[in-house]
Amino acid sequence: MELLAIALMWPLLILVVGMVFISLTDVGASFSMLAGLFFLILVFGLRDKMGGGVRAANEAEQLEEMRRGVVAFSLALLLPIFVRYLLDLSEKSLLGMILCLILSFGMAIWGMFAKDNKVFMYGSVLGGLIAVVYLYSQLWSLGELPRIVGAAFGLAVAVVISVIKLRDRLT
Amino acid sequence: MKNTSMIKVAFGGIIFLFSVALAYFTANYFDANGSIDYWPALAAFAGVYVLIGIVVASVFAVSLGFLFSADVLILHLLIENYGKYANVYKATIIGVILLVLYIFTWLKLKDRSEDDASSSAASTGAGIQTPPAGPIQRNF
Repeated sequence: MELLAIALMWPLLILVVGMVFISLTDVGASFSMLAGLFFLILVFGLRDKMGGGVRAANEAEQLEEMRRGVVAFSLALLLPIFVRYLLDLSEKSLLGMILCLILSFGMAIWGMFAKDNKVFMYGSVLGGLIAVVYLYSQLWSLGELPRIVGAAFGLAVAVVISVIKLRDRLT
Repeated sequence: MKNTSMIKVAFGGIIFLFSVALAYFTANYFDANGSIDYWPALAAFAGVYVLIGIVVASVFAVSLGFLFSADVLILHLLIENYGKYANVYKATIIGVILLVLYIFTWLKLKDRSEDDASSSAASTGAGIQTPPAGPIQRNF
């Protein structure tokens, strides 16, 4: 079983990266160029950070770091694409927008406080933030009420997280 | 790279190239004859290659050759036809991939600790410093 997993891993990862670029081209061809740059930064530029601060000592570990970068890249770009399709499916209704905001904020916050898993952290935070930016850009065209809901939602999330996680201690 | 590794890579490459060629030539032939359309034929070849890749997983060169050629066929299929799918299918495809990736990341890609790295280096022989050959110099 483990042998099968090892054999399947790289073909599956390459398929996923291909899928990212295909779906980005479907969303907008110019995004693919940006995604290419993003891919180079995450897979080669930030490679050292993906392994939890431990430097790769040999080729096998370098390959594993590269695999971590590929997974983080895929997570970071597939989440906004998924949110976009969900929003299209709901025909940009207010309920759909709120659900997508909950999903995006939820993933970003989950990633921010994830421990011992840098790949999950980078993938979720970047993906969640890109999705939130996309959602707020779409809010603008929907009118007054969605804008108010979006602003209130963002504010509520920021306040709640700050109160729970960032409470200052006086003593 | 060792000699056997080179042979494995070479055979994997040959299997990859010939399997891709077989799929495209056969799909073209069937399409020209009007028996089976081009894209369904390519999809069938991709499915068969994935099955073969799974069955012969113990022979990496053969397995990876078939699996990578299945990758090429599936990606070509998606490049040409992905835009025509309804949004429900697109969202489902991306959602399933995301779910699998999150589960994989959560279970298998936890940060490496220093102990993991040192044990990995020791098992592969990297990072182990061997004493220099020749007479031992002592500093008194």
